Amino acid sequence: MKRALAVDDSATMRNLVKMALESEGFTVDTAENGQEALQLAKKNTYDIVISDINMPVMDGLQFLKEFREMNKRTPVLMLTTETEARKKEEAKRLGATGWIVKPFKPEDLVKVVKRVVR
Amino acid sequence: MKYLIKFRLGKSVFERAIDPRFYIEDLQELGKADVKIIKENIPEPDEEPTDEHRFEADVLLETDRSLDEIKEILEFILEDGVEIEVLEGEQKEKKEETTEKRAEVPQALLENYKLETEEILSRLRESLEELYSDPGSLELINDVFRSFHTLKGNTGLILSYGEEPNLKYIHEITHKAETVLQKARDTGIGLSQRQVEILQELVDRLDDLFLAFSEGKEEDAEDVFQLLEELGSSVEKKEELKQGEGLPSDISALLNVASQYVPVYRELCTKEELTEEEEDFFRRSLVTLYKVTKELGFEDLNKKVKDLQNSFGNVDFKEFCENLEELARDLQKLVESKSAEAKKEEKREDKKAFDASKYVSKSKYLKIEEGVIQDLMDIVGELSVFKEWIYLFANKLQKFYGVPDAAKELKDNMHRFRSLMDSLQRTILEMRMVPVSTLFERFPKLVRDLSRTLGKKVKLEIEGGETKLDKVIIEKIAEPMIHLVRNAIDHGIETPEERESLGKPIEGHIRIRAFQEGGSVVIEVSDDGRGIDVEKVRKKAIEKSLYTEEELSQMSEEEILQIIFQPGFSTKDQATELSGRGVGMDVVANTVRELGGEVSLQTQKSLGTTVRLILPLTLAIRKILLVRIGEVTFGIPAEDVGEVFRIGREMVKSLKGVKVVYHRGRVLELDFINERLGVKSTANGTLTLLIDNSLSKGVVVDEVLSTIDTVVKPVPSVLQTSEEISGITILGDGSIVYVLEVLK
Repeated sequence: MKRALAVDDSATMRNLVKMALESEGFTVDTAENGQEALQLAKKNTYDIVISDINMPVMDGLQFLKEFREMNKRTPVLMLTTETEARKKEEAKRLGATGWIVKPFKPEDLVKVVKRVVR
Repeated sequence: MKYLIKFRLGKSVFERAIDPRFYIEDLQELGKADVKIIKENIPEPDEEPTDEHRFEADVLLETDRSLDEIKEILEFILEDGVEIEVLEGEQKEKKEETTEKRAEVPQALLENYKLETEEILSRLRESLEELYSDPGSLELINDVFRSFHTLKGNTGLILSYGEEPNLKYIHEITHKAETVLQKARDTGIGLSQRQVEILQELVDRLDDLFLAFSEGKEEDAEDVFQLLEELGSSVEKKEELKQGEGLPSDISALLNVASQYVPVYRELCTKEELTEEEEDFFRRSLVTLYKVTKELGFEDLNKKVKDLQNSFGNVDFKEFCENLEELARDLQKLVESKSAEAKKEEKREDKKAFDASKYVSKSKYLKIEEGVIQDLMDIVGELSVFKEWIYLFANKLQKFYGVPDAAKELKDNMHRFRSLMDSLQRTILEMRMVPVSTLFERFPKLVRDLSRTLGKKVKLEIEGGETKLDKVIIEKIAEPMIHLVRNAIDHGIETPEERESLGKPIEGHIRIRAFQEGGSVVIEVSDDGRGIDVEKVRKKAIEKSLYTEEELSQMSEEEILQIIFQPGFSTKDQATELSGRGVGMDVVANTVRELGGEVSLQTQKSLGTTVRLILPLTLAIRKILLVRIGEVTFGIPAEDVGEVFRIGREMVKSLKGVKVVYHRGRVLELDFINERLGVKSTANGTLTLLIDNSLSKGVVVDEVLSTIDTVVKPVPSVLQTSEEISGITILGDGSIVYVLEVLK
């Protein structure tokens, strides 16, 4: 069974990602910020990580940077908004596999996830 | 449609954990695909990607899908070495989006959304309140930004299932607010207090909209656009201001460019050989620097840049780098000196911001229990009594103990002690002060809600929110203030139709204003409504047997109007027929008087009404009436005294053993406190009466001397000999006066 990590400070978003991926047979862990996510990522191996950018304590880009330092091969999708075009570039530079523009529906998410993990 | 899609992917793609083969598979699913792999060296799952790793392939694809659809699939690698050529077929217009079906939002998601929105709104309210006291705090701005950001994201999600009018408003508001906050945060400029106010109003509106959404109603929120506009435009204004005060924008552009280039120059100069891109960078960056330095008139720098441009590629790279290093140092110096200037500027701004929030008793500063401040105040009170004692002791040393030198030394140092005591006292007083905006901020919502339920159109204007007042006073007048505003809308402001027929603007106007006037703070609630009809007040007063017709005929209009502040004048059901103020005005008046303040009222028929609350700045300082009884001076809190009245001794009657006088048609019980205090009265034929606010008893004194503003201290336990004495105060000459609360 594939395992995913969903990182977002919004409980609504976290649960949406969880719901969507669980319906595709993933086991989903969640974290509220980059720091929590890093701790989980050190303990467990994930097949995919989906992370918001704007979060307290440690934001998504910093998390991505630190995550990539220890793991180059796990796809990471960033949740962005249309207004964050600049951050998309930054995320790519830091090693993001792709991104999903908010708002999105569960089926959109699943589509993108299937594009990067098999 | 026929496409040729070329994949030329390298290390950077693998570093992002992308497996290009998935994309090939996806393309194969779209139609007939002819895949030609040119090079396939993909790192293993546990392998570090290197420059050796490449993936090159050409895919010839025949499909009915549009170019946009293919681009969408390849989105993540489109700019990283993928080319799409359209070989055959018209490049179709983007397929018209199939009208989306309104989908049902999953219940769990909706529940989540509602729960979190409530949390976010309440967090926003808290953060904004703190931000109001400290509008420059980037940390708080970031908190608020994040809340708006999250709410926007969540709302967008629910909206993606189908349109909902309330949520659309919420989305719009949060989006705009987020943009402004982001700017305020990223530029480091912060917000103005007005902007925080607007944000607070917007949060109120979000609250309304969210409620409407939850209840399935529709809330009209067109009014938010004006707020949003004001929110945004004021940000720009402030920014302009800062740029004007600080550096010209083109200098900061140079600084910006320079601080980016310098580190890159240094890094590249450590290399043996440059790539084409790196050479290109040198050329381009020098062109930019040349332009900017020329425009700004930095001639030295400009010449250096020009020399470098000429020498690049012509001289040894090492030599070029040495010259470049020189330029880099110059640039860095410039950056440092300019940013030091800018910092100074910033500091000045910081200082200003700090001043404004000097008296903040909440937010990040420190929360102190009110009781602690009160204790502190009492201790200082006792200390200052002790201070007077030391002063007296110095006199004694001189006169009775015969040590004039010691007395002089002590006295000399007493001055310093006194001024320290005074500033200590002032500082503690300041700790109790909070801006009245903490009270005012609830009015916009109140006014909106009330005008909606009462079918009135009302515009609210608030002024002087920064005026500071004792926290206890603010808490006490909250209820009466709400009362006044409610009355103004309910009874003052006419219906839109009525206003129109009177030729008034359809929208009624309520103004709440606070300002300091001498030692008092005045709070006014004005409306441009129908005003109070004096005739009706007169009639009602007779009806309620508060006054006789004869008495009323002796009274001025102003005095008659004051009747509405008397208990028993109005009750709820009469308020509406009495085209003016009504409900519980006596409660308002009482509260204010208890605080040592006054209420006054001005009204003009069909022009409106203004109620003024005149409040003491602080409760720690009280107005005291100094009176003489015999040879002794006593103090009586002025707020307890309703009237001072002199009578001849012969007017005192005895009623069932109690001494009374008739005054204004009432029987007043007299209190000869000199007897209780054991002081001999020197009054002869005329008695001076201090009458309480409810006109039920009179205290007899010999003479009223004056009123003073002073700090009343609790009685030190050694002096606590009589229960009539509620406190002591010290006069300028150092004499101690007992304060009597005999009229309470």
